[in-house]
Amino acid sequence: MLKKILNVCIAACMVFAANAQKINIPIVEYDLNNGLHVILHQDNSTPNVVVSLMYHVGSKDENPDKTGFAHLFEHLLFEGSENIGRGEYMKIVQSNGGELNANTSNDRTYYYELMPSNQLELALWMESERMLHAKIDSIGIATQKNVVIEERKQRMDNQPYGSFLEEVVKRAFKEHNYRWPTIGDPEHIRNASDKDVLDFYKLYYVPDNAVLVIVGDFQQDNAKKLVIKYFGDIPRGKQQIKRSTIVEKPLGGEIRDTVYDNVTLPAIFMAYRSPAYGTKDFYALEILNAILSRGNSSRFKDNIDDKKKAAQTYSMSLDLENPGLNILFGIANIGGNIKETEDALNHEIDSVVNYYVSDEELQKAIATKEMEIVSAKSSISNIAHTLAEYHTYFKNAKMINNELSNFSNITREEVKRVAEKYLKPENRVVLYYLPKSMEKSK
Amino acid sequence: MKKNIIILITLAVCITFSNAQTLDRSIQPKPAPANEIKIKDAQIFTLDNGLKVFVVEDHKLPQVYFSFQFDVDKKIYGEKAGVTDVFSSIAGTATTSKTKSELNKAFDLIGADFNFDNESGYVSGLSKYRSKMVELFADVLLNPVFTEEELDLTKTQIISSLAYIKSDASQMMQIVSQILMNGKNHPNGEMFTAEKVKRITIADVEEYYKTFIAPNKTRLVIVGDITLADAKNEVEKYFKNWEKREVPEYKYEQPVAPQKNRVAFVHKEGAAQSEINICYPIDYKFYNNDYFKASLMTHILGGGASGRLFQNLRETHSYTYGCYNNLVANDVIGYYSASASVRNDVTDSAIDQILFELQRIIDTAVSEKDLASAKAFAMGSFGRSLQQPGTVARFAVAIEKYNLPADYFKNYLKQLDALTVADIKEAAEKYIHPQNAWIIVVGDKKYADKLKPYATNGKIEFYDMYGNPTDETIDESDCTIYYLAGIVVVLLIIFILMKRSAAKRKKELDKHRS
Repeated sequence: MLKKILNVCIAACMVFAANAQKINIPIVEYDLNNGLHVILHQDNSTPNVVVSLMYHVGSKDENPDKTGFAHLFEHLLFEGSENIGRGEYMKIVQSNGGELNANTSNDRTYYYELMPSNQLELALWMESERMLHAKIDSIGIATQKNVVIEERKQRMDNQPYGSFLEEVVKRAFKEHNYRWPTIGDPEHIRNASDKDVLDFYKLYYVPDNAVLVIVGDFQQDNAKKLVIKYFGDIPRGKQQIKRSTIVEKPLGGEIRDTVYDNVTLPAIFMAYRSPAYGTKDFYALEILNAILSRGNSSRFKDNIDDKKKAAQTYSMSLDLENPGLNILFGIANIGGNIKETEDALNHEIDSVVNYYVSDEELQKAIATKEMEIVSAKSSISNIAHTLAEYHTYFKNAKMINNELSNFSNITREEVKRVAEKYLKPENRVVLYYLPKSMEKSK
Repeated sequence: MKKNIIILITLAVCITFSNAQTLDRSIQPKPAPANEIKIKDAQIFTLDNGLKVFVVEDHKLPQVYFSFQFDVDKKIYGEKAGVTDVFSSIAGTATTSKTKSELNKAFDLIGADFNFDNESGYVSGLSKYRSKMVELFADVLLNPVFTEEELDLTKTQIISSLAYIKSDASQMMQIVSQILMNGKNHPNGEMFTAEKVKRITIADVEEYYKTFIAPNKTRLVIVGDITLADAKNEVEKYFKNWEKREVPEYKYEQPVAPQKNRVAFVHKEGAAQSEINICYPIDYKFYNNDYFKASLMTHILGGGASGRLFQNLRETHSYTYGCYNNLVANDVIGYYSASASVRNDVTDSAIDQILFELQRIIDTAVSEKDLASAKAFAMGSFGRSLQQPGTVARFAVAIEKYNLPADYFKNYLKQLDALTVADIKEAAEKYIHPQNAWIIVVGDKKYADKLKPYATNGKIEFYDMYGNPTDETIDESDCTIYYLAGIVVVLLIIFILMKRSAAKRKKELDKHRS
């Protein structure tokens, strides 16, 4: 039944920085006949286990007229199944000592249960029920539509700058499905029909579009047996999933705009079109982001925040499967001028485009990354999530043991090269967020 | 080669077939025998200057942290309210031997993270840099320099964050709730204005350091990839000469809950939702005799996705994305809070349902099934909390701080298991008070009128977010900015949250987490 054992116990084959302390996450991977990919990492140090499933479907797979669907669907998969009554899903997990949750991004949807390790079989049963024959009735659909709309209000509409990502992506992408936010348009959510829901389920919630990850306290033979027991007979997907192949054209010139919102401090967002997660350029940009804004001695902190040119600044990349965005932002101090914040950000950008960063800065950025990589291994749920993403995006869960090398061989020349390549004005959307009162007085 | 493939296919068919024969999917799997939850012991030692040190060795990951907790009373500062916040902001920016820039660079070069504020301090990093980390942080803690330049920067930042809060309904709620529950003459409810912050001098900040940061009032927790011997060496080397001193103590009149329900409304123009918080102060100390039953009771009432509040307000009525409650223990005064962000036009109905659930858990005994579920969840959470080595350190600190029996946490599961339906009812009667609460709403005042039935005095009391009564007909136009002492504003969080539109099903229950 084990079609292929891809990898047993990865060891001693990684190139690391000279002085790096190595973490080893041994994994076993294989495919079931129905195409479900399985990843196991055994860690018997405490009696806990995490069972997770990542489906390769996110908001970028949605129809432009039906946005928010992947996420609405995630809510609906807590409704129940042929064998789990409506509203019982969460209760069963919690009343057996577990926690569960799920989340949706532009690219994938992730479900997980954290259980006492003697409840491994229960979690596998529940996730297999969800994959094989989830049951969603019209009461459930109506309820979750309202819940999702409230979620949108809580996260975006009633949150200062909460809509910034939506406002940025709709200007930064013309064709690619990254142009709408995962939460979707409330109108589309309200209009979703029962048939839409069923079609979506049949197409994407199939074993050959998913990865099952088990991390924690189990015995391998037993875990493998249970995986077959519950997932072995789930049929493969019957339809071919057509992934969008849209390659967004270059932005072709700076886009500038202003959003008047319920905010008190003006803010500026600069979103640069950037490379996909996992590419060489992506990692080089991450090092650049670290130099700009991670740590108290970073350039933004030192040259902008501490000089009172902003209340807060930051830079970050969105880790997206297709080319995405690298976003820099600044929030002005009270009474401060947002133009001054913008000038200060531009000054820092010019500086990394025109000059090499120092060796010391590079060293700091790599030290920061090394610490982040180690800390991310402190819970089995983080490890499971990382393994699931590496498989879903790169078909290479082994990357978890090689993370530092993505950064440790980046040079000053490369940092300058990606700064020049991506951080140029014609490649960005610049968005001002101003208090509504300023609109009236315009 | 060919043979292998055939065997594989046959095998696959067999297994599928046998599955169809034997697997009855309608049967919910039973748990396997549980693996024992092992609780390690922390190592404890005390220096002559009174510094108590708790060490938990855990070599799984090459990282270590040193965490200092200052166990001191809060002082009321009156006209200079905000000293603790200003102190927290400036502490850790410079030392007698290092400028701000030198200090920050030194920490960043080893990727270490650190913080120093009025209640705590920590440094964490990779264990290979341990000696450097401790050396740097000892300098921060023992030889701080508070500069005028930093004071000036801090004032600007604090005043800006006040402005930010005015646009954030959930932070407004946090502030106004603390003020209304505790009153302005209690340190938990003390506010400061921009004017008060401006009065604070370097001398005040230095005075705070000299008065309150003392080894005899500090617990140091060391967790991670370090041996006891190394921990002892580091501590001896850097903290042996830290001088002990007398630290003043402060006692206050305890805040009391309203005699009857009061409705407080904070208007926020154009609010997309109403924030609701039903809350009151209550005497509830860490690890008191009711601790286990009260936490189990609040779990059943509103602890997560299976809690009654969530099930009622979200799953049955879809008023909200989530509704939870909290009974918060505190060394001075605890509080109870049930809260949700709800659709504007159901503000009144949501309050109604929350109060209904509060009353129900007092009036009607929970079922044996609900009790068993809650116990199972609490046990599971306890087991999960032990994944983090810091949990063991937290247990050791609690045992020492609250004089608990040495086996208190080792008996946790046993004690939990012994709780009965009657215990839950008793805890509900003692801690749930739907008739003596503040019903606080931050939202658009258009929806305020419908809330009159919930105010026992028949009137909606309008406040600004700083707990000052306002005239409901006058729009807020105050230019004075106030700020609540003790609230740390982390603007960044919203961006991290926004980074991925994650559909969090329920709040992390970190009751057992450190």
